Amino acid sequence: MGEGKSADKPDKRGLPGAGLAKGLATTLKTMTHRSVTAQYPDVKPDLPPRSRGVIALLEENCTSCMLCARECPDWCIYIDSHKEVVPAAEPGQRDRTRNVLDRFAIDYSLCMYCGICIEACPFDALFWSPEFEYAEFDIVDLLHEKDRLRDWMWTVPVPPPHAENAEPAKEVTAARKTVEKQAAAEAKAAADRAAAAALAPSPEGGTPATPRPPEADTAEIPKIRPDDINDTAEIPKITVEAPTQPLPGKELSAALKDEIAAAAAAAAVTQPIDAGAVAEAAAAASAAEAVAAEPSAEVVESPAGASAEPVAASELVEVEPEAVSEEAAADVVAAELSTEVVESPAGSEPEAASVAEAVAAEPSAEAVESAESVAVSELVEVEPEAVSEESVAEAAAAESLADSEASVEPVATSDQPPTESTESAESTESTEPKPAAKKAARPRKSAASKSTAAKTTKSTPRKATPTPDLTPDPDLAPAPASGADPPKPKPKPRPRKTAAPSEPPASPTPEDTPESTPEAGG
Amino acid sequence: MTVTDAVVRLAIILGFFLVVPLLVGQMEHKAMAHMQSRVGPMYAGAFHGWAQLVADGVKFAQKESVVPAAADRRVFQLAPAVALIPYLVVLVTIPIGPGTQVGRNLDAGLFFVLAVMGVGVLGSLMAGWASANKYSLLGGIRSAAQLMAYELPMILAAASVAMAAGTLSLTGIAAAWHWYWLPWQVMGLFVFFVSGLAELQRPPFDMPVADSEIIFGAYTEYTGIRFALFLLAEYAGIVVLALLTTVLFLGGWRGPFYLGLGAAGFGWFWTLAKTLLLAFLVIWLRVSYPRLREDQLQKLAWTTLIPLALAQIALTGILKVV
Repeated sequence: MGEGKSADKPDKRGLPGAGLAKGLATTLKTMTHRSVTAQYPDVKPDLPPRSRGVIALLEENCTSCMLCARECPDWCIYIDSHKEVVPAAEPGQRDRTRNVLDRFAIDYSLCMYCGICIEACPFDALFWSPEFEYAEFDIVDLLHEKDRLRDWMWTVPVPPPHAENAEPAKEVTAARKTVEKQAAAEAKAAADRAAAAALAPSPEGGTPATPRPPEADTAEIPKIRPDDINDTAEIPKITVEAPTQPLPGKELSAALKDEIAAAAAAAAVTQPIDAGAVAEAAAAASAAEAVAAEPSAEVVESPAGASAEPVAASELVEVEPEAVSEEAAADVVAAELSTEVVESPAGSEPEAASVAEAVAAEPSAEAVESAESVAVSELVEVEPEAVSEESVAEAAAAESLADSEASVEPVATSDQPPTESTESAESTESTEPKPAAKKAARPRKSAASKSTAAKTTKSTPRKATPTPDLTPDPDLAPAPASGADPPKPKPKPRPRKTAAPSEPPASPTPEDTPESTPEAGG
Repeated sequence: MTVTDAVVRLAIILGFFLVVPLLVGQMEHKAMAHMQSRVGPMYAGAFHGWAQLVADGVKFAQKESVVPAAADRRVFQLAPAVALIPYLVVLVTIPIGPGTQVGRNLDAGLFFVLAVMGVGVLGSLMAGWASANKYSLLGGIRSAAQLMAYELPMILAAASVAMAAGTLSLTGIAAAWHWYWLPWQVMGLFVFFVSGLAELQRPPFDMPVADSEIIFGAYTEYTGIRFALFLLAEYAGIVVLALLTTVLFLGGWRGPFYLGLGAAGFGWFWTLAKTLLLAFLVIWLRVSYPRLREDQLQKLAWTTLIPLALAQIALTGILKVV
């Protein structure tokens, strides 16, 4: 054969036919190896996350600027849009126009997957998705309109995490600075208000402060707390703007009650969020918050009922001050409640003052929690927009109560007996055993907002674990800072406070608590 | 030999003719795939695609068998049969075991086999001419050139064996075989096998069909069942070539050990094993080597194989006389 010659030419060293033998050896060796066939339809390929499968459109980010369509080498992007006039927000301003995207289509029968459109988009409206299984029987169907392009967004992978020691992204830094500035400003304002409020209701404020020196200090000097909050948590949005309380003297009309209830619900909602955040930081603390949310609702209602409630609130507040910190957490809750409260701020001044104190103190407790988990506090901050006052203070108090679950709940029970008595009872029970408290909180939360409920539920498991340990010790440390601690302090304040506002309710609460605790333990 | 005996023998031969080529075809599918790091057919028949060729046959049978308008109709339709049937006829005279384990033992068996196999190549010539397609014509002409070039060394190599055995009967040749034939006739073995590959137009000697340049040559215009017959002829040709090589040069039904397994009852097993081994070699060569150019093809035949075959005849004659 000519093989001999051909083999000799490439490598003259070998024997004639060495190349041929090598060829046979190669194929035989390959046959003994495992094949590299990918069983595609049966086994999905393991594609790298950045695969260029299909282009997804985030329609919300698209400004119809046409840059992608112009840069497209294949001219396979079709964009239709029109301008809409946005009326001036204020009388002196001009009307604005904005582009409205009518059509955004990519013809994948033309697209060559160069990705230039994605590079060109200045608004992060286009993304690569690794999905590739969108073959069609009719080439016309390869024209993906914006709805389908939008659906591809769900398949866009999450961007890879930031390198561990890398400089944070510019956007993140800028956003953080902005948030911190706002938080600082709000914290100052809140601190001022809280301080003013604390000064005004000297009697009640004094009492809470005295029982627990550290907390009292914090309550007295709320300004410090806000700072701490800022340091610890990026989200010191909490601002106890208006500590005024609608509760006291005036009897709340049905409408007012409804409003209060709504406010309470809102507070509950906000609290769950907090609880979720806390859960990340400290499970126990989060649980306390969740509990607090429910109690707050009760508290709100209670003000309408009788003056005694305000006292309870103040007590609660006192207890909470132990936890220290401030306005931040309380503010958030307060903000939500505040709107409603504002509507029914008619309450007596003294009560209001006490409430304000309570609020201040409570916030501190939350602040501690917030310090534990800043993220939660941020969420809360967002909500504060509603803000307002006394109702907020109450809500905050409720939260603070959550921190010191037992104390808050008893109060609520005393006040609320008529409508919410059952719930309050649950809450009281729950407060002692944290898990129970969570459960009680859930119903309200669910009513208020499912999302919040979900958050609370997440937090619950963590809470449950700490609670058993905590519950037995309720009388001891009142410090809400640590997850384990909060439960303990709370129980102590509760009995005292509850007793102060109204003895009868207080007595039932302790009873409830023991019962609940075993349940929780079980 | 009674009529029933003849019928049984022909039935066995027909079954062999219909089954073993498919076996080789399936082996080619899988062996070639794995030599290329693939898995080959996996779905037909559920287990590693064992029924792939059956499925292919069904598919070919369902397809329309087109005859080009300008084609020489009769010749065009007859070509596949001319390509296929000679291999069936050849099988009749090839023994798979000693004694009577052969369809019909001809005294001039070797002569008959080589003559009939030469007819098979005519199928390609007819197809190439009748298709009225220039690619087909090119393929047909290349087939003719290849046939002329390789028929001679093949016959010379076979003649060497016939000289050594002193008979043209295939059964006689296999019976006369001794182990020392292996080194003695090794050149003849090489020439015979390579020439047979070239006559079958198997890679690397597939210049006449060269699908990447003349679009399967003589088979360009064939579709459906007729094309399937050409493919079957190719695999039947592999089987016949492997059988002939086995019988002429590898001792036919003789096993490696003259023990129980080497007895007459197991002759067919050793024949079949050697045949499949050679068929695997055919596939292996196909996968390993690139196609020879037309001039390389001719050069190989005329400057290498024919001299080698002549040298083999000389060697055989010298040793035989001495």
